[in-house]
Amino acid sequence: MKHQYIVCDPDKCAGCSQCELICSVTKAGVFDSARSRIRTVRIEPVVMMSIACRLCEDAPCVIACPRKALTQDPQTGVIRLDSDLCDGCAWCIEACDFGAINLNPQSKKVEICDLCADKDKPQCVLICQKEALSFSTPEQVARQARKEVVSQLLKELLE
Amino acid sequence: MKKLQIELFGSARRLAQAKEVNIEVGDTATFREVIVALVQKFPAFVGHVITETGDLIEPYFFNVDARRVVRNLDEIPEEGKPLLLLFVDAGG
Amino acid sequence: MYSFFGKILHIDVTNRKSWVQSVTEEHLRKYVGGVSLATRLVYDNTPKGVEPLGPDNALCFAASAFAGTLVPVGTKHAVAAKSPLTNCIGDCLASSYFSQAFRRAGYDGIVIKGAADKLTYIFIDDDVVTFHNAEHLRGMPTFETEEAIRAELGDEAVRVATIGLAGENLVRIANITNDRGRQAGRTGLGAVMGSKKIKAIAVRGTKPITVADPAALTAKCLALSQLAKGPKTEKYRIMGTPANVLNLNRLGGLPTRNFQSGTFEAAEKVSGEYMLEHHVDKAVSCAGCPIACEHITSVREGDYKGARTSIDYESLFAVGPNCGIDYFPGVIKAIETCDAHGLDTISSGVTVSWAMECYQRGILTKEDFGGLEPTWGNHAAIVRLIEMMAKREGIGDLLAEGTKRAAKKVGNGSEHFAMNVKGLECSGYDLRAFQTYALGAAVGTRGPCHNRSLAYEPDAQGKVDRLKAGPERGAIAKECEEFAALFDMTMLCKFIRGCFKEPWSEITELYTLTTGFNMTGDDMKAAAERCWNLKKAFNIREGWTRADDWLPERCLTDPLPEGAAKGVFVKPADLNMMIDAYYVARGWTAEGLIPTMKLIELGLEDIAKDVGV
Repeated sequence: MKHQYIVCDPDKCAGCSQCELICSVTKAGVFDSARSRIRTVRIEPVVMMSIACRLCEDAPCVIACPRKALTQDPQTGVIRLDSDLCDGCAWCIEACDFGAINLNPQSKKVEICDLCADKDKPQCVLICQKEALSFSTPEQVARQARKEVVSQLLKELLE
Repeated sequence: MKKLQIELFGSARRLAQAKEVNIEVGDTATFREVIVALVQKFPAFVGHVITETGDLIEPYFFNVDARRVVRNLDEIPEEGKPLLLLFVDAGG
Repeated sequence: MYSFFGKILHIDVTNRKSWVQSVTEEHLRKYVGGVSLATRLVYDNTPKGVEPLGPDNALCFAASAFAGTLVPVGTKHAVAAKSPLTNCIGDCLASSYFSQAFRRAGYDGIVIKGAADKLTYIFIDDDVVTFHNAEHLRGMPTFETEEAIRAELGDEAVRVATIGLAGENLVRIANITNDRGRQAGRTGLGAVMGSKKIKAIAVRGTKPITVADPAALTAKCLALSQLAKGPKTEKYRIMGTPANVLNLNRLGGLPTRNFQSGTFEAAEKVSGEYMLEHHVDKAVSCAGCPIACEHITSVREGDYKGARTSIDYESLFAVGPNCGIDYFPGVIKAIETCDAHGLDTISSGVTVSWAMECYQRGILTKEDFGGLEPTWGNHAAIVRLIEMMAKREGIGDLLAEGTKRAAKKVGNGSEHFAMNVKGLECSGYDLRAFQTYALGAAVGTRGPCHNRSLAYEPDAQGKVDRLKAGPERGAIAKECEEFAALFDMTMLCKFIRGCFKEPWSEITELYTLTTGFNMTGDDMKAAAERCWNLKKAFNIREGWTRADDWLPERCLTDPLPEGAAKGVFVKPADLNMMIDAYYVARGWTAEGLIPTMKLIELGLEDIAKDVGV
């Protein structure tokens, strides 16, 4: 069973990228999308979605790192970086199919979503006014989709 | 009792699924009672067009005969004059 | 300095040079940002009597302190120059990622002067400015141009402001487009950019934005963002501004068939409600916006299948009811065509409708239109005429000049219904049905603009009798203008205005938390008054007189024929009375000139020397 991670519903995402800014100000104290661990993708005019680390099982980034700088927390699934070991080679960035890892342009160490470890809840989920972002497990995502489709198909019965 | 015809615009129209509505209120009823009657007919108005405390949510207003905006909800509407529930926007 | 960088980038496109001018905190506090800062840049960087389409006109961009921060709906920028349409200050607002990008390149403003020898695009890459051949982009539609430049520079993160064919052809109603669907739309700034042979300005900005109090600002922004998804902004989220069609139609103020009427019998078929039911794909946001008012609409079948664009009320009215169009796919196609070629939809629609009335009255014939028959409702003809304007082809060459110049040329009574003030085409509120706005439209520094004036609000909300004039409107119009300026200087989208209880102090507080400039609501009010006087001073310098503050003849003689405002028009004596009252409220002379003392009081001593009386 997978862990809770940041899920984005592309039907609801309006592409405002406020998630990027609250992440960067929370983590780095400045507004700089290059310091955000969640990134918005806009394929104009209507395809929009934000992506953050999906806490893969047997995470490819962990396997890829030549210096074993990345480890995965067995309880939460969060990817952790030992910044002393990281040398900015970016092999993990290439290993990640989702583009969820980014390189800090100043320190040249990688940055990955840690579900706002030092806050009580992920800040991006808090700021998203479209409720596109949620902090869910895959099971919760599937359950919600089932509920929505059933409600839609059988809406006459619900009235 | 007096009968009032109210044309609906914007969210009011969308939530009522009707372009206009006829309601009946007491002879001395003010626009506050009109709001109560609307909420009874369309509970969905609350939170979108009408507040929980029975006021209109900005930017909605009542307009009499498309010529005069009702500035005070304690005013008494007259039978026979069409009422509008609408708003006007900054054009984009 | 927080948020701002204290730097203005100057670009000389003739000699392919650039340099950076430092600006002080004092200067930024005074002008706050946005429209005010942009106007100051134009004033300072152009000589008196500057030719709008000449190399000495300055195309100026100015930033918002909020752009690229968490402040919701604050990611906007201003663009200004002397307008080739009005010969007055042409100031525009645009938004989204481009607004963030040039800030993050490290600039609070950009001033572009000169003229290249061939079509060029400029690339601002943080501190490095380079000039690139753009001949291969000639004629390219706006969004394709953005994508082509991103591909050429090899970076999806590059943001682009571009002109289309219309700007290249110096069409006087051409706009500047960025981020696909955002425009610095009015007053012909696209033609200014085209006259400098600049096809596009590409920016890559990597500098972080710092703010004075990140924790307090973040908390305020979270609260404001939550309010911004509440009922006060519902009208924008559900169907966007097209909700205005049925409202204005019912109030008798929906411009129909070139403002011949204020009621359109087919309004339901071109309403926001119809759009929502049949054509809306999704509502999307500008960068930094929790509201998402931009409704992307498309045509799913029939003649114009595949046409797709975002629709706002103003674009809708201009090519819809104003042209007698009752076919929504035709509206979408017309707007898409304007967007692709970089044409202001309002001016395009109102210029085409002028031409259509000329055809109706036999002033222009089928031959003049090259065989086209632009009858009311003929959407194919409208789309064709828009293309012809962008290309300056056939009668398009005349229409490309805007209604004022076109009507002057054609004469034969067509000036009576050339719906413009100072040369800028009227926007989507019939002035006769909203008489405080009629005043605001007459005196507005860039022309008849609902957005700069906001005076239609007291009319529509019934604070005054909208169908009558009155002397109290002078003070009211001034107050509305300054409220608008609050948003235009700090660069907050006006769609959030319903979410503040005390807008002056609340917005000033946001500005202070961002910039660290300790400003009060009163400081901001003074800056708003300064902004309006600055814009007026520019116009005076460039030859404005009281005669320019007037209304189209139609508004002064033709009563509305039907609807809720039937029988109403603006009496010239009433208009004069209201203008007198407005000048008094502004502290100006009876001729609308600015006393030296007033300019000095506002901290505009140097300007006092130029235009003070």
